[in-house]
Order: sequence, then C-alpha cells, then structure tokens
Amino acid sequence: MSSPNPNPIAKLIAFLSSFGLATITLALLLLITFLGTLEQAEFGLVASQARYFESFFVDRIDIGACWRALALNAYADIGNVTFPLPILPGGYTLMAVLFVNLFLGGIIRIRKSPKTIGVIISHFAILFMIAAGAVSYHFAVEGNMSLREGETSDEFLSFHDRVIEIEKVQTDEKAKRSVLVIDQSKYQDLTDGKGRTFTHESLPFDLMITGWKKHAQPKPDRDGSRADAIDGYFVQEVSTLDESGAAMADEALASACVALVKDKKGGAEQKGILWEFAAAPWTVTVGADKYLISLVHRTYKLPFAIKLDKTEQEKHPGTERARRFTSWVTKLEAGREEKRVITMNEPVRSEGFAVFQQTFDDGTRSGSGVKSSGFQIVENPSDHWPLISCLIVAEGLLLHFLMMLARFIKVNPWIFSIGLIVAFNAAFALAMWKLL
Amino acid sequence: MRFLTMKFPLHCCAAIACGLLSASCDRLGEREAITESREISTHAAKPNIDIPSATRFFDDAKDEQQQQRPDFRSLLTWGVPDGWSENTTPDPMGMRLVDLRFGPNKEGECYISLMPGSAGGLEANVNRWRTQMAQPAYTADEFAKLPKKPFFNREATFVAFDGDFKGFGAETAKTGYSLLGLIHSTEQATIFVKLTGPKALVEQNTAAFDTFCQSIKPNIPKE
Repeated sequence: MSSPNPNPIAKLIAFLSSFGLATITLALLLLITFLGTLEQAEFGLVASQARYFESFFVDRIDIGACWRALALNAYADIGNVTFPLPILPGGYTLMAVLFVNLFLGGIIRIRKSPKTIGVIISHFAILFMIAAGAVSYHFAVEGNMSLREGETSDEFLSFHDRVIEIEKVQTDEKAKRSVLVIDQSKYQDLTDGKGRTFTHESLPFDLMITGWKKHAQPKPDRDGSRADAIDGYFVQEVSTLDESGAAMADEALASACVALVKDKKGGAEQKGILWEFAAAPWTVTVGADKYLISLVHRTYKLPFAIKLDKTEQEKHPGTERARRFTSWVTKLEAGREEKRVITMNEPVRSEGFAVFQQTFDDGTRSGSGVKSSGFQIVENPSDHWPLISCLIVAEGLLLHFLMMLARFIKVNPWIFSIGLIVAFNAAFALAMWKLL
Repeated sequence: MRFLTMKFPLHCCAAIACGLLSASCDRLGEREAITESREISTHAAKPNIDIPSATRFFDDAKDEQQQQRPDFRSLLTWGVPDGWSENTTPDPMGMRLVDLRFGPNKEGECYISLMPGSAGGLEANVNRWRTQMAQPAYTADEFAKLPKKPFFNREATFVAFDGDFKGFGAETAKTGYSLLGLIHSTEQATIFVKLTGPKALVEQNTAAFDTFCQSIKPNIPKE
C-alpha cells in the first residue's frame, strides 16, 4: 500500500521513471524525426540536424517547408508559413530525458528477477547507445583529406567547421609556419552592419570582420556602380537551393565576408573579400611583412602522416560505373613506414582515427591529370559503441525470449537459455570468422 | 513623492533607450583577442602569395577578360631540336604548352607544362612520375642527391630513370621506357619539361633534350 503523501523526491522519481514519460518522449522523438526529415529537403542535412536533433529546443517549425516536402502544395499552396515559438523539445533534451527515464525505470526500479534479467541487459545496452550518441556529438571530429598520387599529408579539413586563419609569410623557407585561428562562432553573427575587430599582440594590425554571408559569392563590379565593391568585386548572397529547388549540402555552400585590416602604427586601412572557395588567401602587406588571411574549413592534425602511393578505381564489367576505389598508402609515424590498403568500407584504423576511402579522381575532374583520392577521416571515441550496444541488446532479448520459451515448454530456463545462447554465439563467431 | 515615482520610470526608460541606441550604434566597435593558433604541417603546400582577386575568385569566364588573358605559350621561346617535330593534336588535359615528338614512329614525347604555384611540390611531382614508371617513390636522401641543371637562368632539378611507362589514361604500361625530367619551381609557378620514350631512343636523344631545355627562355616583350 502506498503512502498517502509521498515526498516530492519520490514523486519526481516516479514521474521520471514512468511509462507515461517514456511514451511521450518516444512520441516526441518520432515527431521531431518526421519534421526534421521533411525540413531537410529545403534546409539541408546539417542545418536540419542542428535545429531538430542537436538542440535543446526546436526554435521554430517551418510548416511551409514541411508542407512542400510532403508535396501537398500540389493541392494547396500555403506559402512560407512558420511557427515561430520553441514549443518542441530538441533531440538533445529528449535523449537526455529518455536516458534518465530508462535508467530510473528500466534499471533501478524494474523488478529484479530471473524473468527480467534479459530486459535489464537490453535496457542497459540502450543506455549505452544513448551515451555513445552523446560522446560522438561532443567529441567526434570528421573531415576529409584529399591526396594526389605521391603526396603526403598529416592534416585533414573539417566538413562543417569554418575558421578565419591569419598566417605571416615566412621569408625563411625552413621556418616553422603557424597561423592564428578565429572560430566561426566569433564571426558568423557579423551580418551587414555588424563588425568585430580581432586583435593579437603578434600582429602589426587589427582585423575587422563584417558583412558575413552564409552562402555567397564574389561578383565582379563590371560597371563600377557598386559602392560596396572591393578591388572590383562585391559579395553577393546566393540561394542555398540548387536548380531543382533542393537544399544544397553544407559542404557545397561557401560563406564570405569582408575583412578590414588596420595598421596599428599608421592606421592605414586595407579591405579585402574572404571567400571559402577562393583559390588563394588574401595577401596583406603591412610594413615589410606579408600576411595571408583566408576563410577556410578548420584543419585538424593527425598523429601520423599518410602518403598516397597509388590509387585505382575498379569498374563494373562493361560499364563506366565505379565498383570500388582503392588506395595504396604508406602510414608514416616517427620514422616508421607501414604499407596499408584503404578501400571502400574497409578503412584503416589507427590511434582512434578511422580513414575511409571516400572519393576518387582520375585527374579529369581536377584538371591536373594526376589521380587522387579523397579520404574521410573520423575521430570518434565511441566509434564501436553502437555495434557493441546492438550486440548486447540482441543477447539480452535472446535471453529473455529463450527463458520465456523454456518456461512454456517446462525445461530448466537457465540451462536451456544459456546453452542455446552459447551455441548461437559460437555459430555467429564461426560465420564471421569464415566471412572475414 | 509622486513626482519621484513619476520621474523614476522615465529615467529608467531613457537609460534603457540610450543603452539600446548606443549598443546599436556600436555594432562595429566590438573588440576580441585572438586566442587560438596552430602550427602548419611540414607536408602542407607552400602558400600562394599576392594572388589577384580575379584569380582568387575564378573570374576568368567573361569574354572580355578571356581576350586579355595571357597566352602562356607566348610567354616562352624555344628551339625544336633536329629530328623533332611539334605535335599538333591537342593533349586530352590541355596541360602542354609545347608538345614535341621524336623517333622513327614518333614514339618519343617531350613537352613543357606550366602550373601555378608549387603545383604540389617537387617531391609529389617526381614521385608521381616515378609511379607512372612503376618505380618506388624516392626517399628524402634520394631527393637530396638529385642533380641540378641550369635552366631559365636558375637551377632546376633533373631526374632520369627507367621503367614501364603508363601515362595518364593509358590502359597498359609500355615496357623498357626511360624518363627524363626537369622541374623548376618558384612561388608563382612551376615549369616542367618531361621526356619519355623507349630506352634506346631516349639515350640517343639525351643531348637533344639538354639542348631543348637550354633553348627555353622567357619571351620578354621588347617594349
């Protein structure tokens, strides 16, 4: 019999571990997945992911975009309708609530008995998977490295993180090169009319960034009529949708901004346009020194270098369709050389990094005539956690169902279940060994 | 007291309004120190310096600019060695400024190409040629020992090696080939002279290759 006035903490725990909360959370997860997937058609994967799945609250719902994604505008065009209030919890909040709910309800408060052991194991594995998602969100780094045959690199570029870099040109070719880095979070609010000046003691100038645009392109001011033209060019905002009306991938969008360099001594000013897709940095001369300023994807360093020895593409017989790209590389680390092969779905893993074959160019696309490979590089501390989690879920549910079956057919549930699980695992291990 | 209670909200409103106004006026006045830096890898390509805006922004599609673009071929002069002739068929990549042929069946090739900047660097390009000849990449020591030859009033790196040549787009390798190459790199551009052909034919034309390389000069307008 329950107490008539349970204390507030007990009430809170009861609420947090309730089936009702689990049901509502799962329903909301379903809803944001549905809306996020619909919005992705016009806003792209990265923006949609950030708004729906990585946020605490969904700041607004673009009903018009969802309507069009469902092709309902063929019946009635509702135009650009937006629900501007953050009424929906985001994926981050929902996963946190689900974690607490599952931990309290599915591990702590669940009845502990031989009958529920399989379910408890499965709940634990789902918690592990949610934790893997959190670790991946906070700590994983993803990017790409492009190498031509014969080239070596130990750096890769982030897919989505942008920075402004300032490099002093070294007169001595053997001198160590370094850059100052300004993260995108510090300038992407600087739309027209807003500006921020960045300073550093080693720089003989201050750098003001202004007029940032997310998807833009420098356009020539042919007739000289633009007041905002810099060196004959102005920054023009362009659509984030492609010709078919679909959202372009984040990697295909190039941001641009205006940079103003002000000499600390004389106060002389130089103005330039920074553009993500620019062929070269903007060169600024201050005194006797030259500086390179560029808007680029963030660079990450690998603990080893990769040299592309050879790359080949295999085509489906009798067609021009690619079947497989393969790269023969040398992994260079602390004077040691190791020959490795990277092919599609068979990455090279080392020191927490996984190097996947992503693209191949026979030299035609780049126009260089030299074959090259694009590698996707992922550093994810929880890389294998989802796989481990799925295996544990499977084992837990298998144990649960087998114990239920054993009781039904009136045999010893432990001997029956454990015996069969051992047999299943042995068969699985044998199959994997033969396959791999 | 009534006066004060009336005045206080007015003052507050005025102060808030002034604050908002000054904040909106000062949207260009924010300052922030740069706190992050990183070292650039020794494998990174050399930076491209003093590149004009038109080149940075790939603004070479307009007709009027197209007409003004320099014809790189006109930037050089050269002498064609005896027995060599110019190939008039454009190469598939359009990279060759001068494309010469020699040998009884014109199986020997020698061409000049020019690329902006360091074009990936000496090591990458020489090892690319080594790969084309089915040879292992040179080590750092081997690179250090590569001979230099005078070229363009400066020094250029000279390479020569044998192997089975499989050029760009070729399905099969040609066995028993030799490659001679000269690479000269500056911050602005890298010039390549590459000769390939059957080993015996290349040996016969090594002197002609040197003569050809020495004949390549910048074509400076007289004015």
